[in-house]
Amino acid sequence: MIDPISCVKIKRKLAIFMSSANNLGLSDRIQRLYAMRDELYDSEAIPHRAQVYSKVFSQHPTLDLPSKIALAFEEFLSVKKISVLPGDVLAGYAYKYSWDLTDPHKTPDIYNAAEVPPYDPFCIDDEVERIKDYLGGDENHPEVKKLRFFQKGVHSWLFKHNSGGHIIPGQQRILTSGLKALQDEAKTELGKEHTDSEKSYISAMLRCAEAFSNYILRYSEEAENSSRSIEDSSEKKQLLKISSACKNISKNPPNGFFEAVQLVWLVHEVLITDMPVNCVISVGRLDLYLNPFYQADLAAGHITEDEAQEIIDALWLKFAANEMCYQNVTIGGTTVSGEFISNPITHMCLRATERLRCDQPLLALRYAPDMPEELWEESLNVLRSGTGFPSFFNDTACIVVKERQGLSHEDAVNFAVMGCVELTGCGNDFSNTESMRINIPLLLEFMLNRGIQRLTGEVFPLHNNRNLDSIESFDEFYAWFKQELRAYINLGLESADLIESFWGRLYPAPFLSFTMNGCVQKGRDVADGGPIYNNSVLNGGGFASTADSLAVIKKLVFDEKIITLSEFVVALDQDYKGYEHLLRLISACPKYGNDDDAVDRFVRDMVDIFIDEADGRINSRGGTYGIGLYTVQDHAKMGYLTGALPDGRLAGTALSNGLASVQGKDISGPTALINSAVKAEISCAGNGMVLDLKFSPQFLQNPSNAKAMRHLINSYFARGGIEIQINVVNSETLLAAKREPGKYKNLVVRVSGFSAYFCSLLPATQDEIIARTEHGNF
Amino acid sequence: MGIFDPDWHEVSALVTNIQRFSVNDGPGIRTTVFLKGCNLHCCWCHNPECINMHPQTQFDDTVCQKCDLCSTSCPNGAIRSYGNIDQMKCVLCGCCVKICPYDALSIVGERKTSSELLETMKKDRPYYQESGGGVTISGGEPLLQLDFLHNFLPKLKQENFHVVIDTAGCVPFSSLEYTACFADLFLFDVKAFSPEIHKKYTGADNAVILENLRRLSSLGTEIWVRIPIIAGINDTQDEIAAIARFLSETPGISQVDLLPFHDYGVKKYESIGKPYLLRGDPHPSDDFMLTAKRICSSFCLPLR
Repeated sequence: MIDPISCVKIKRKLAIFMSSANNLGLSDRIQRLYAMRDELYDSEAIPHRAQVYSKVFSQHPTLDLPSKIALAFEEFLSVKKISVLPGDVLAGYAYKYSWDLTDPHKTPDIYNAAEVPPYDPFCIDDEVERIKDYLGGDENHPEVKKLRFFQKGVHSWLFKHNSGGHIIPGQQRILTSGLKALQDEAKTELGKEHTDSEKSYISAMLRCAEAFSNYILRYSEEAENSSRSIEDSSEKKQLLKISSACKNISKNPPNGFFEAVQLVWLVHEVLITDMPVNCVISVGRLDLYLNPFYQADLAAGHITEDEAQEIIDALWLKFAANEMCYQNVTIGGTTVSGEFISNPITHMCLRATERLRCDQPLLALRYAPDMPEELWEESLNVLRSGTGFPSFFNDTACIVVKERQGLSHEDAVNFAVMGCVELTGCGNDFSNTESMRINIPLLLEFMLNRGIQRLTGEVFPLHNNRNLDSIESFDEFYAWFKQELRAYINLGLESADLIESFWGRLYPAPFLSFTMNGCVQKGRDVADGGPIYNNSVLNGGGFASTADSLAVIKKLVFDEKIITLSEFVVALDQDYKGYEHLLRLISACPKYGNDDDAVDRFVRDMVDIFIDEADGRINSRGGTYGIGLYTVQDHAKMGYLTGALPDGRLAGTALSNGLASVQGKDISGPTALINSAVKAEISCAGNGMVLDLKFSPQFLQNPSNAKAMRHLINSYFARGGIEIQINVVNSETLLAAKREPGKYKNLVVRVSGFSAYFCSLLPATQDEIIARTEHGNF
Repeated sequence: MGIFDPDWHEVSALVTNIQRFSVNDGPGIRTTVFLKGCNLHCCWCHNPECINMHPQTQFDDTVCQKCDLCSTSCPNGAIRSYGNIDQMKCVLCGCCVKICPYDALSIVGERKTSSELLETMKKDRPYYQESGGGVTISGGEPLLQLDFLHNFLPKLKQENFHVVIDTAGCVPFSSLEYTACFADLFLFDVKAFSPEIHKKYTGADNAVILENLRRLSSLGTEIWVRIPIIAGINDTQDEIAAIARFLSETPGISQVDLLPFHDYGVKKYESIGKPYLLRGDPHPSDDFMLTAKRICSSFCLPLR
C-alpha cells in the first residue's frame, strides 16, 4: 500500500487543477470531463449493491457461497445503473471509492488523532467470527483462541492486518484472448476431472464472466440509445464508436487501441465495484500491453498521437474518480527479450499524470540506469509538477528478489507495482500484501512496561518476563529484544497464515479469480491457492524509531549510566513531562539516517531477523514469504496507540515511516540517509520498501542538480535499493516548515545559484521561496 | 612508527561544517568541508561564522523558547539574557550549550583531525564515482590552514579523490603553488577589479589576488572563477567589464560563474553577535545579471 508521501499529500494536491488547463494541452473534451468529474458521483451505488446481494442471498439459502455470490453478481450487473455520459471518451464509471463509505477506516489529509477511532478494525472482527462459525462455533477451539489474541493485537495496533484484494488482475490475459475464449476455456475445464466443489467454483466463475460480457453489452446498447437523441455529429460519432467497441470486446479481443483501453477500464471498474472493501486493485504494465494495439492502429492510420493521448487522459480521469484507491500503473522496465520499455504509451502515461495532477492512478517507473534519456527527462518533468510521481523502482533488484520468492524468470521480469510499493506478478500472483505488519517499537514498550500497552492497559504476555533492574549489559537487553521480536513475528505470521488458510473459502471472489492465471484450471479461488503464485508477507513498522530508542538505551542507560532502565520507564510514563533535561540528552544520541554505524546496525539487525524468520518459510497456500519495509499510513496509526518511546518521541505521535529516519532526524543529507538504509539487506524486500527524499521544486529546476539526483539514484540502486521516491515539496510543506522548523531540519531548498536547508534561511527569504513555489508550480 | 610514519602526528583543522551531497561546489556530488578563519572581511559574506579564526558560541533564535537557563548557567556572566552573548567574555566553556533544552546554542568551530575528516569523505565514495564528484575544501580561506592541508591533501590524493580548493586567493603564492600539486580544480573568487572597491568592501587589496590568479593559471590546474555580484558594490558595467577583460587575458580558466548576492547568511551574523554592515538591498537586478552575462560573453569567457 502507500506511504503518506505518495498518498495523503498527493491527495491534498488533488484539486489544484487548473486555471492554466489550456496551456497544458488537454483537449476540450478532457477539460469538460475534468470539470464534471465530481458531479458524477452516485451515492446510492454501493447501498444498491448491498441490497441486491442480500436479496439474492436470501433467495438461495442452500447454495454454496461462491454460487450465491455469482448469482448476486450477475443480478447486480444486470440492474446496476449505467450511463454513457454525453461527451465522454470511454464508457463506464466506477463509484467514487472512499474509505469512509465502505469501511470504518478513515484516512484524512492530516492525521488528527481526535477524529480517528483509536483502532482500525478493518476486517479482523468479521473474519474471526466467520472462522469461528466455520470451526463449529466453539470459542475454546485452539485456533479461535489464537485468533482472538491476534485480534486483540490488531485492535491495539501491535499488528496491522488487512486481507484480500491487493492484486494485479489478469488484464493482459483478457486483452490477448478475449472474454469468449476464456469463457470457453472454463467450459472445457468443467468437462475435465474435478471435484464437485471445484466444478461448482468454475461454474461460479463462468457465470460471473458471462454476466460481465452482458454488462459490457448493456453499455453498447446504452451508447447506441444515447446517440439517437444527440444532434452534435462528433458526439454522435463517439457514442457509436463506444457502442461498437463494447459490442466487440464483450466477446472478442479488442480491435485497436481504443477498444483495448475500454476493456481495461471496464474490467477494472467491475473488479473494484465487486469488492468495495479492501479493493486495492492495480493495473500492471499498461505501456507494455497497450502499445501493440497503438502501434497497429498507428500503422493503419486509424489513430493519431493526440487521439491516443486523449484516450489515456480519459482513462486517467476514470481512475481519478476513485480517490485513495491505490490504483498503481507501472511503466518502463525490461521485457523478457531484454529491451527496456520506453514507448509512446509510457510517455502518454507520464504526460497524463503531469497534466491532470490527480492522486490517482499512482505511477511507478521501473528504473534502469541506462534507460533512455528522454524517459528520464519526461519523468523529471512529472516530478517537478509536484505530485511525487513517478516513484522509482530498481528494475534489476526487483526482478532478482521476485525470482527469489519463487516466480519464474519470465513472470519475475514481468512484475509490476501493486498498491503503494508491493512488487507483484501480473495476473498470476496473490500475495495478500497487507496481511501482517508488526509494530516493532510497541514491543519495546511491552518490555519496559511489564507487557502492558501503556495507552490502553491491554496485557501482552512477554516471551521472557524480566526484571529491568537485573539487566546488566546492553547486549543482554538487546538479546532480549531480539528474542521478543522473533516471538511476536512468529505469533503474527502464524495467526495471519491461519486466517489466510480460511480466507478464500470465506470471502470468495469468483470474478477476480476468473481473470487470474491458474484459478480456472484449478477450480479454486484467488485467495485459496488458485493462482500460480500464492505468497505471503511479513511487513514491519517503526524501524528507525526502534533503532533510535535502542541507541538511547545503550548510551544513556548502559554506557554512560546516566539513568537506570526503571528511572527511564518513569519518564516514559510521564510522557517526558518534567523530564525535559532527559530529552536534551536523548537528542545528542546517534540517530538512524546519518550514516552512523552505532545506530544503523539496529535497523540492519531487525531486517536480518525479518529475513531470517520469513525467508524460505512456507505458508498454508504453498507459497513463500516476502518482506515489506514500508508502512502505508500505519506509522501514524500504530503511533497513535504507542506510548512515549526512549528516542524522545511523545505518546500518540507517528512512528518513523518505512525505512526512513525518524522525521527530521536525518540531518546529514541524502547520501548519508541512503548509506544508512543500504547497510540493511534491503535488496531482500520482496514486498517492497519506501525510502523518501525531499527536494524543493526549485532544486530540480536546475539541470545540474537534477543530474546529481539521478547520480544519487543510480548509486543507491547499484547498492541494492529497491525503491526511492522524490518528494518535491509544495508551499504547504514549506509553510509548515516555517512554523515548525524542528520537524523539517532536512528540507533542502534551492535558493539561487546554491542550495540550503530551508530552516536556515531568513524568514523573508523563506516567504519568497514559498511565494515562488506557488508561482513556479501551479 | 615514529617520525618516519607520515601519520606520526595528527594534524587537525578548525572546521565549521561538513556538507555532504554538496552539488554546487565543483562537479558532481561532493563532500565539502568548511574551514574556519578568513583574512578577507567581505561585507556580504554569507559564511560569517567562518571568518573568525577561533571557535564561537552561536545562538539560534528560531528555536529558543526563552527559558533563560543559559544566562543563569554561564559561569562568566557572558550571557546577558537568553542568547544575548558577549563574545568578549565568552570562554567557550560550553555550559550554556549543555544546558539548553532546545538546542538553540552551539559552538561553531570544532577541531577535526585529518583522519577523522577522511573517514567522512570516504563514506560517499560511491556517489563521487557515479557522478564525477569528490571532495571540496572551502571556508573561510582554507589556504590559511596550510599545515593541515600539508597533512590532508596527500591523504585525499592517496584515496584518489577529485579535490577542489575553494579560495579567495589572498595568500602567499607559495600556498597556492603547493596545493596545486594536489588539487584537481580551484574555485577562485574574483570579487572586484578596482582596488578601491576591493579594499573598501573586503578590507584587503586585490593586487596580490589578481597576480596569484594569473600565476596560478600558468600552472595548468583547472580553474573556475566565481564572481559574486553585489548591488551597490560591483554591479556596474565598468567593474564587470574590467574583471572580464582581466579574465580574458588570463589563460586556463575553464569556467566562469556569476553568483548573484543571496541573503542566506544574514541570519548567521546575528547568531554570532557580529554586526551586519551591508546596507540597502544588495540583490542585483535580473536585468543587471543579464547585462553582466552579456559582457562576459563578449569577452568570450566560458560562462556556465
